[in-house]
Amino acid sequence: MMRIAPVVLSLLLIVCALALVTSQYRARELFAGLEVSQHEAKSLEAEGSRLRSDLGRASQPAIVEAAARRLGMRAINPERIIILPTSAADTAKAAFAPGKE
Amino acid sequence: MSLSALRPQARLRPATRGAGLRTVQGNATRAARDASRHGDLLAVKLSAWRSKLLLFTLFSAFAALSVRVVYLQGGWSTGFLQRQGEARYARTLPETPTRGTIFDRNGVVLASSVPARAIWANPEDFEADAKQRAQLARLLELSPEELRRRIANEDRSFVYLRRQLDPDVAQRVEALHISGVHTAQEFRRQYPEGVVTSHLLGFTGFTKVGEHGLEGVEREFETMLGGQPGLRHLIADRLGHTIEDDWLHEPVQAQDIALAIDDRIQYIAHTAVKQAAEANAAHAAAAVVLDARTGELLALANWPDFDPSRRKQFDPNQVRDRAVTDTFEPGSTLKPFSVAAAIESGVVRPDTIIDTAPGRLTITGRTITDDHPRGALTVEQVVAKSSNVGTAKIALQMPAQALWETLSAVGFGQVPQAALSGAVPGHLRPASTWRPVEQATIAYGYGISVSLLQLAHAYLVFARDGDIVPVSVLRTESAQTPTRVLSTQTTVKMRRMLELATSDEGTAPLARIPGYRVAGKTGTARKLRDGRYTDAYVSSFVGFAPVSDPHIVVAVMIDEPRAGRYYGGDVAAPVFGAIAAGTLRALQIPPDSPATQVAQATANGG
Repeated sequence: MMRIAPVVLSLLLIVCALALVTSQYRARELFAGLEVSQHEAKSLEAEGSRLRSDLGRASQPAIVEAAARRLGMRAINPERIIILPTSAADTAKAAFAPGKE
Repeated sequence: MSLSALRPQARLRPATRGAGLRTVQGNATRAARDASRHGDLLAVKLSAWRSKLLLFTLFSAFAALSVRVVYLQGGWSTGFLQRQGEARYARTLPETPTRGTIFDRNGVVLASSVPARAIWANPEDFEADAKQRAQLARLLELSPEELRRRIANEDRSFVYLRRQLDPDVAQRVEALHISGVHTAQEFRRQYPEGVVTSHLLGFTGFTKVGEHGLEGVEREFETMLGGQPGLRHLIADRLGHTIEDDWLHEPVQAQDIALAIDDRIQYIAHTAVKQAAEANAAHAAAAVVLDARTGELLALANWPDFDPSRRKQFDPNQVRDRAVTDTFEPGSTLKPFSVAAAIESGVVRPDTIIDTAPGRLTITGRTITDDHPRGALTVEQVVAKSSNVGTAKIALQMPAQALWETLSAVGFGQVPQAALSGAVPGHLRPASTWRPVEQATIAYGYGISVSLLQLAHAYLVFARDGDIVPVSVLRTESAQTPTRVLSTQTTVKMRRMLELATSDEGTAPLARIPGYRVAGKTGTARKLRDGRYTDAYVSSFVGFAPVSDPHIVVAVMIDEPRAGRYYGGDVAAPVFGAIAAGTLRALQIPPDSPATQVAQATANGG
């Protein structure tokens, strides 16, 4: 028994040492992967903010207005607005001229 | 050469030498023969101290090395080697958070940081032929002379050729493969709305430690937008891959902010202000739109304006956010507060008759005049027709302190609580220092100075049933706790008077907009220059709509209209009308004017 123990223990030690090396290696590999992904996430975020900014620029009211005019659209004129009451209560409210406070 | 020549000759024995050697190597063989002839004689001559000296020298050298090794490794002076070792695997990198985005109330981007590139050169290494130089100069939008000047200084090893360049252009620069020209990553602040939001948002600038807001919202919300840079400690392997990291101190991530601004209303206000300023050949103009219910700032526009992307052309005159930082004597737009204070303290009622004839009033040697003299007016008409004499007479009937308290309660003379950079308190002296004539002039807006933002804010009192909330630049879900200034009854009376001012008999029929009932007050104040009133005017109009349930407050100021007309009712009121009409439409507020067509449920079958 006392003869086998050192052999078994040294084998165990070797196995442990190899496992340690492997796990260290794996950890570093994964870390490198994490770094790459984080970098990617950052550049995607930057791309996203660029696109949002472009969208903001494209949807500027000045541009929208110019496009609407090209299409022959006009701004809503309050004189052309007709209010449609939806219920009896609303009808009553609408009938009461909002001019009187 | 054989080894024999190098050996100590005394030890050589002829018997050990081969026959061949003797014939081939003449000199050596001869020397060996000499040695054999002299025998041990030479050995005696080499005294022992020589070898001892050699041994001692060698020992000393090793001893010195040992001492050095112990010194370096043994803990006495390990810093140098550790530093050198660490420099080969570890590095410390600052990590700057990307600046936060500014959104409007509907999520439209008003300012964001997008990736950009800086192009820099090392003049020592710079090598390019004429064609490459021309291409580089064209891509960088530099003149060939400017490019030559920048790379002329060979003492320097780092010169920026161009910063904040578009990544696509930077790629084309890289494709030229000019030695000594490099690119670096950075971020550029973009303002998609350009001139429309420039005063409100301000801009950023670079210092040694990074990007900082220098004006406007960028400056005011610097801590949220900028975050705090962190310091990261990295351990890299032989190939430069990071294998371990930890934070020396972690960065504070930048936050996005949502402003109360509505970019459509902002555009409407900006366009209206610009048109009015140009049509009236004005020195400057500004407009403020507030949400009457929450105190949110819906729009803030100034003219002259500036394009935040053309930094070289910045002129302090254009960059200043006049609506917030400049004060002026408000003139008649202040009258409603004096009248409200008088009604509140029970001195007058809306139908009290005030005799304004003959259009002038002299108090302790100073004369107050009306532009259009009128006879007896009711208090209502004093406001609607904007009589200085009438307002002065009303104000003189109440204690100065009561007037001061009302003016102070609505925010005059105090720095607005809104987070707007450079906001000024204006000027309102304590009532105890007022002389009687000053009490009269302050009542109609002279001898007091306010900013346009303060004026718009103060009108919240009339739009909100007598209480007031602070202006909010950020989008809020609920208004802050209101402070009561006037009673609801007084407010209702004031609203009636202010609506009368926009009727045909008032000073501002041009402020009316189809479909809605509006109320407001004009102001036409002479400008004070070097202590004297000049012929230059500040025309203003502050009002709210719809009167039946006020939703917005709009204040307009035109500084020095020089195209002939200068009355607030002629110059500023139409701008109010344009902005209010656009804002009510953008906010989809139902029309409340009796003229609006209401479809009959019966006629349309529901």
